[in-house]
Amino acid sequence: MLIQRSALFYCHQRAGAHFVTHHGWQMPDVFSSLDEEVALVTSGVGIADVSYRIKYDTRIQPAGPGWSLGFGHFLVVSEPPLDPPEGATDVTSVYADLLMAGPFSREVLGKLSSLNLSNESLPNLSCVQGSVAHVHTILRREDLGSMPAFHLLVSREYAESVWQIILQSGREFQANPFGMKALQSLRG
Amino acid sequence: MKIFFGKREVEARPGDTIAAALYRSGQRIFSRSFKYHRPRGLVCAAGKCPNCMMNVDGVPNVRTCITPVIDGMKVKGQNAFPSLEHDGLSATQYLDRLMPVGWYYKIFTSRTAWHAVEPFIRRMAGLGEPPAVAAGEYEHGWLHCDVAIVGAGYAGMTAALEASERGSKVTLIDDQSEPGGQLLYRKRSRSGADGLIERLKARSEIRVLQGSYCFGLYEGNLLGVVQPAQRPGTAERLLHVRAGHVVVATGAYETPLVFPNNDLPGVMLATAAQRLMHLFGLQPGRRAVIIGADEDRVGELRDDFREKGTEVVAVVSIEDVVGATGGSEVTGLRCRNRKFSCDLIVVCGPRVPDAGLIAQAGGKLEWNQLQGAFVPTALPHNVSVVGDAAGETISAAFPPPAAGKRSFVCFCSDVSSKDLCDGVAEGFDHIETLKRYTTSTMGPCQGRMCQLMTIGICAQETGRSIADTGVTTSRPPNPSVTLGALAGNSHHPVRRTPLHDAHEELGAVWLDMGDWKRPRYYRTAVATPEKESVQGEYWAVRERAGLIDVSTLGKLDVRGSDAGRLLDKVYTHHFSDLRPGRARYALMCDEAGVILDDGTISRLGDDRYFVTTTTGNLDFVYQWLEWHLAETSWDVRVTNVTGGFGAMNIAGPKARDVLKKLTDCDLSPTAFPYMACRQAEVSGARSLLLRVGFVGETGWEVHCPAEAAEFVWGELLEAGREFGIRPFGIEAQRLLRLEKRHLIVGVDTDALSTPYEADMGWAVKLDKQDFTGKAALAKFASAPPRERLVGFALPGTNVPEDGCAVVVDGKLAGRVTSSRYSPVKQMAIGLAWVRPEKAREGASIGIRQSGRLVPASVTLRPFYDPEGTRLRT
Amino acid sequence: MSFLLRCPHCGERSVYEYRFGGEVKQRPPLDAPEEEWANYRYYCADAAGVQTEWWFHRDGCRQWLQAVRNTVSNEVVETILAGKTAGAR
Repeated sequence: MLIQRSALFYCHQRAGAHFVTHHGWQMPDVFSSLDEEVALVTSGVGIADVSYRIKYDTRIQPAGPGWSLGFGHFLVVSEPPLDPPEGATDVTSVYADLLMAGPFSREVLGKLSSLNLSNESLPNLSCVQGSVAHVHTILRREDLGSMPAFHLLVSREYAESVWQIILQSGREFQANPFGMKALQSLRG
Repeated sequence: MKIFFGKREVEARPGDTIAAALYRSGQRIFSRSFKYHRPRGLVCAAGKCPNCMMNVDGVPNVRTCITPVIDGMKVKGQNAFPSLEHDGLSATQYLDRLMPVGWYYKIFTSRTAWHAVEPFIRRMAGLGEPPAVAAGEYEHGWLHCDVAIVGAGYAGMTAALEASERGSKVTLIDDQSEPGGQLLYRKRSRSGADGLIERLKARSEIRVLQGSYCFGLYEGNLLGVVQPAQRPGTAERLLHVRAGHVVVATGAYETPLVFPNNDLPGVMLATAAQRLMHLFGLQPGRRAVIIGADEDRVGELRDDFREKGTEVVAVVSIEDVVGATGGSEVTGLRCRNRKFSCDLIVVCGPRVPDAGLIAQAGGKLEWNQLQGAFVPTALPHNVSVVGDAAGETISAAFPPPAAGKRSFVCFCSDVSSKDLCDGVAEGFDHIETLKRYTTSTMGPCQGRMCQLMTIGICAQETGRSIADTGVTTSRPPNPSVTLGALAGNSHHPVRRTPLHDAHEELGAVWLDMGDWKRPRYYRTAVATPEKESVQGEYWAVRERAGLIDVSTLGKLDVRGSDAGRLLDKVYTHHFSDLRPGRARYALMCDEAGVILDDGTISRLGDDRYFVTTTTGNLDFVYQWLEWHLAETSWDVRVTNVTGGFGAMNIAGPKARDVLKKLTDCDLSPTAFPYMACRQAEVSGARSLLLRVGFVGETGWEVHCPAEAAEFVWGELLEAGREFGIRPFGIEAQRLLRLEKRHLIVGVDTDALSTPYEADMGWAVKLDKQDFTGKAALAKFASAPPRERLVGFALPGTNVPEDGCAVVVDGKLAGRVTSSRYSPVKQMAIGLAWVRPEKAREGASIGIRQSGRLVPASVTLRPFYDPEGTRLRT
Repeated sequence: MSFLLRCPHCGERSVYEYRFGGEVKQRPPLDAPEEEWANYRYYCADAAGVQTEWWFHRDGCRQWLQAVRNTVSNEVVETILAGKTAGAR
């Protein structure tokens, strides 16, 4: 049986993750405990690995919510399953998808990127590209309720490096990874 | 609160700076000067002068007068041997006749002598010592705002409130611990300032950065700001503040007057005395003499001293001053007619608009005779200046400096008025050359204390006006910044292949290639030496099967109806006529015909190609393709899919047997020939199989989704176990390819290498209509080559190092680019650039190897399997 | 150097986000004399004033754009997405 793992599998394992198979991928379900992870996110900042999400690179304006990468250039990102859009290139494997959430996520990102993350410059559900921790990143704000949250799409080979620097920079806000369970709970 | 000062424990009060706590405890000497080791005390108490710099918790050159006390801090004096109070090196001041300005240029004219004394001079002269370990985690941060205001004095606070009330997003940067500027320590400073500080504090929309200093104003309104440590364990944070508009409200600072012994501890600026009194509740001295002429200012000071119980012994004007007296502290002031005994001399010095930021950003400073100051005139775009920094309240005639006697002008590097006069006399009469020769204005204070006086003396000595003398150039950083803050955290991005942890498990010894981590070789169970491991891996590939991670190859998905057209244009071979299911070697040249990159291009469908690039050139190739597309309306989409594929090369006589176990794809030589490609499942993972042969054996590159790569890798190793498969690293791969005489772009080629010279002419198709480099390559095709890349072999196990010189008839005739010991040939082999006449089979060349000339013979054929039969089976 | 360059897609960004791609030049025809080719390959006008240049937005949308920039003041007069201009190469 084919085993599919994100770039951060061993990172999660070292952090004591308990894994679950999610759409064919081995993803971390819980690190410490659901309640603790949710509490850490809502009071500080947390980061989750959602690399299993489907991504398509397309030059045709998608019907649903597309992320604009350039003029006439879009990214379609979705929870699986998703039928491939016409003429699109599957880039699911290309990008690791890190979800940073919590009231202090802007502060942590502000230490790693020169991007303007203000509400006016980056309203909810908008997307920018820039350098985060010296790595090209597609950044999309997708608040969880009233809590700021950002998806960071980085080329897979950089994932571990970016993951680690985020946790390091977030230490002052008790940054911690959170699993699929906590994510589901936060999404409500 | 307590701090430790050397061996002494010092009590501190809340709100104290380090210097304030030390002053209260009776400390008067805060540092020893740079050159003469003279005792120095507080002069500005505002973070502008170099006198209070100490080592705090291991960090050197901390300006203690503006650094708030933290309980338990360890504070030490600097540049003093053995202590601040008793510095043996202060004897040097009596040798000043031997050490005139620029003395080391004049005395140590011999290089040997200079090298002998340099370490001593460096040790004696200087500031703090760099810390052995970082003081904590340095960080960077970025801030965007509509308006950034530097300085939270009256003008800055007013500007901040106004801008904020208009709806702008405001950041206010102030280097003191509380906003207010002069309002905090000067009672008579402003009317109408009541409640300003409270209003500012109440307006939460304004982001106020206290204790943060702005050291540079750069192009595009970028401000460099250093913020103090935000939490224990961290160090300073450097903020890059990008503002739509910058308001410089840095105010004005007072500067010292020049008279003999003006640097004795106890001689301080009037504003410094006021700061000590009003900010920290200190009594700066018991008996004070005030040097000043302005009646208002003197009256203000008299009031303050009365309140603190300090007796004002006399008020004198600078013209009457002969000099201060005292040893390690001031004991009196000698004037023309009288002598006063005192322990404090308060100097009402000229006020200088703090316009360094304006000058850095390209603004102009112009001398205003009435104001006695250089004031900003031409302002850069979107920068304004308000308050004292604009020269608003400054109006005092400039006091002529007493030039002849030795009085200190530059406290940072002990430059005296006499030194400046000598400098001018020696011909350094331009303010910029005088600055460089004497180093006045070049110390940690960056001219804040001494610039005006230096200009004044230069003007006086050269007989020019101050306006004509001009002002020295102001550059960032101003003031000084720790290197750690500039460097930021030590994070450097690392690229890991999807097989990284599998390699780790297998005992990989890592090699850094750019940001990538690649296994150099695998350490087998016992601690085997590199050579043995590499040989083991080598023989596995030659005799059985080997597996290498090639995920670092750049991978581009190129699709669209014009995809072939694009590839024809940028690569030297034909690609539009490549049949689907076939792959071709691809070589890329620039317009000068120089090799840029190589790789393979596979056609997956009519409108779809899969392009690989060398590991290091991916970004370049992507940009190169995009550039060629930029002004066209061609239907091509280039997608970088490098991270999306795990790629591994399985090679060796048993490779087919191994791979066969995991896929339904027909791998027979007829169904899947050399340079063919197929899309098939390997161990259940949708993969792209490429039949290529970099290492010279039957082999496939398996490109599978990155998330499945570790699984597929494991399955391949498991399936190959019965055949004796081994993972192999870069070192074995380099050896294997060298035996096939395959070049590596960037290793065997350089910025001048062309395909014909590199023996790659076969990859250039001049029959194509046009392509990048054609004009140049068409000429090279018929022109005699300047040099040729050839193979060479030399008997024995002695392998020449890369870069060794090729020597023919005693003359330099080329260079070695790669060399290894070949296990099949049992001799050293390699690639070298040689002169064209030597590029023939069997020609003899010499290779210079650690001083000896070793004979080698040239070959134009691969060392291993020259016919390529193994590759094609 | 820290001036801002407006990317037609991403907006105003620091010049550090871009890769400089040289002056915009006209590629000579294949049969042009060698001198013309040498000029194209190796020489640039290096104007002290306004010139049109290639810039690649490396940290952003990864597209090539052309900027009309004053090389003395670093004032960027205009930026154009390269694909949107006429003219062949």
